[in-house]
Amino acid sequence: MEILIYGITNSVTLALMAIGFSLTFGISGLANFAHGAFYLLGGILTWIFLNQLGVPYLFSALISILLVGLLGFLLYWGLMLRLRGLAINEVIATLAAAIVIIEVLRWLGFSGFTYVLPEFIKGSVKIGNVWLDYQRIFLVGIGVALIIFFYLFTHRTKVGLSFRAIAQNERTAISLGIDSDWTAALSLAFGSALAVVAGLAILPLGSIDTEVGYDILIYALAVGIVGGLESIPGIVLASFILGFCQIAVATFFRAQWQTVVTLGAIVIILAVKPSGIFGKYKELEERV
Amino acid sequence: MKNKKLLLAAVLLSSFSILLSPSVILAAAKPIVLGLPTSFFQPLCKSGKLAVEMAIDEINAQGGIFVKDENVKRPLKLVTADTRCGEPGTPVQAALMAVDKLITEEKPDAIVVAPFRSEAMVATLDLIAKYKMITLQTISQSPKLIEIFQGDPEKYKYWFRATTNSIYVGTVAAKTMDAMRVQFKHDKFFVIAQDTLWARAAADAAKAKMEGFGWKTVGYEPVAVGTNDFSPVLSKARSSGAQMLYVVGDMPTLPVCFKQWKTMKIPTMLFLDFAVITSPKAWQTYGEDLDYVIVLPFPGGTAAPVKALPKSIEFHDKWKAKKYPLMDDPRVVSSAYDAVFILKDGIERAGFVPSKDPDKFAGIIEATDMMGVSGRIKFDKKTHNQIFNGNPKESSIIVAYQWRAGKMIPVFPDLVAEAKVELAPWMK
Repeated sequence: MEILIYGITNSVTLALMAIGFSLTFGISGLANFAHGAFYLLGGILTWIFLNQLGVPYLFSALISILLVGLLGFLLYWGLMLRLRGLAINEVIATLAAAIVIIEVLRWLGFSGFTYVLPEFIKGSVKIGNVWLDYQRIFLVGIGVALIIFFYLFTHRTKVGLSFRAIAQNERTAISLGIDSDWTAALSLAFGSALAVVAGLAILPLGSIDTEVGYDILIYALAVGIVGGLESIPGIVLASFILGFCQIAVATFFRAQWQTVVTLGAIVIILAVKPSGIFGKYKELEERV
Repeated sequence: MKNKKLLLAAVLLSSFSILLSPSVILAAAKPIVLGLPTSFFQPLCKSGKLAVEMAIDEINAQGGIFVKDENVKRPLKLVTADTRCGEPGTPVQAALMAVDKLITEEKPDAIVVAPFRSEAMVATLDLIAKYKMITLQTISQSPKLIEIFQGDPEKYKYWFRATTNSIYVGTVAAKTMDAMRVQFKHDKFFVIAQDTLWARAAADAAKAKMEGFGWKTVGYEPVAVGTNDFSPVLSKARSSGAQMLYVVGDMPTLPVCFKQWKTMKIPTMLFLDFAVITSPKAWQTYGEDLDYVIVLPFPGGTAAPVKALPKSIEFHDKWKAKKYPLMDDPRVVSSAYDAVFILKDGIERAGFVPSKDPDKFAGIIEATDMMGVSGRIKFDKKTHNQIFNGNPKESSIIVAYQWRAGKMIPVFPDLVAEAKVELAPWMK
């Protein structure tokens, strides 16, 4: 029972970490290596609004989501637009942006264990014979809501449909009047904002430290590579595979192998199916 | 005319009185220069610097240190250098260059606190020997320093560790946990260690000591750095029947562990070897999640006052009076404060400053016998380490605390304990 419950919470945590990264890549083909930095920045901005400026928690969270989303949007127009299509340059540029953000935050003193976001509700509840904290229940709720929202957004809204159009065939989408740069910038903004949403759900479990900016990127990459970077069903499936594997390995073997599960899965998938379980990005090359 | 004369006399008198006042004499006397090379990125180094400044202000307010050979009271002056060795990726060489520059350019009479990281401290020993610089080092806990000192005591005689070392800390941690065996008849021990070299070494040492006391280790779980869900290992601790859970590490996600210990109601005591929660500030950050957790800030009284250590009460009162911020990491901060007074005591006994005759002054420091924040300060001549034992009247001590309702209650050793350890409510 414990494996089931904590397997689910761990899986949803991984899905939350990866979903923004996957969205951006799926639409614009842009691997946003600043994803972890945005996750961290969102947490710290919320902490500042809440603790230094006295803004209520909900508004602090909303302002942070908007600001980081805007930063993602500006990152595209200010930097990525010039590098579009140059995959290596994109990776270097976004990674450099991540390092700048994380190290500036470290330099400003946002390091250590002082920075903690409050849980939405403190305490825990017994499910069967397992105690589970309310924050993890919220986390699962937020994760499920995001996935549903994401599905409806990409299938029912004009912007969402334009996202999918660009993802399916950029040239055809352009010929139908969809502005590819505008859509890609929006996808980076959405992906960055989603990183903050994930942070707001996950960070209250522990504390905000600059190192998490790097850790989150690794988890997001692992989930994306296993599931298929551009595939939302793939992200969900990979999160559950990795999430349950991590809990099972820690329970039946040693907790220290949890990281090995994540990294090992990347190696295996890259060797067997480089596009990931549901990915189609390199499917043609794989067939050849 | 008469009024003018009176006015002139008053001006002359007041000028003389100003010139003869202690502060002016103090300003005229050549200051004794204290060097403080450490990594100011680290919270405990920042707090350590404040502690040194507090001690210097206190001494200077009394006119400085009386140097018998010069028949003058000399004020203290602090010079600092950032060794950056507490910042990620900074090589030891950078720390060494900072210390070397401080010594050669600022020409301090002695050094206090010293580099943060043990690797940098180990390398600094040779600089200390080269420049014959009396050094009261108060951060690094590595036993390696003792080994090096004992390899050539004559060469390294200028170095003193005016704080705890990891051997003392490990022993007191095990003794604190062992007190539960006596108090609650507990004897099952479970270890969760961050999977890094230092944390594994600390866990191994604790395990060996606990088994020596008669405890049975029912689980030993290394966890990867970055682990953000401790439920599998905590479940193992529950099912193993453990009564004492020892967790050691310093990774950013470690607060998840004690939060889950509470929310999952794991029926064990929790001894957490995690610097951050040894700070009085930790309650502001984590609140009631810390309730019933046992912690061990190194020298007694550095994190919170202990009634049996009067100087610790003074130290914290002065810290408050200075309006200094709460310490992020209080470990060894009181040692930095004490180090200045050890030097003062040494200079007053010697009658000269350390730089005048460092060889002789090393012997003076060896003979230190005074009261400090953590009890009586004496040095072991065989190791040049401050002696820490169980009785504050005989030596300095390390104190374990239990967090209860926002307060750090001293619970070990018995001689200074202000309350018995309490079980978490879900264990009763």
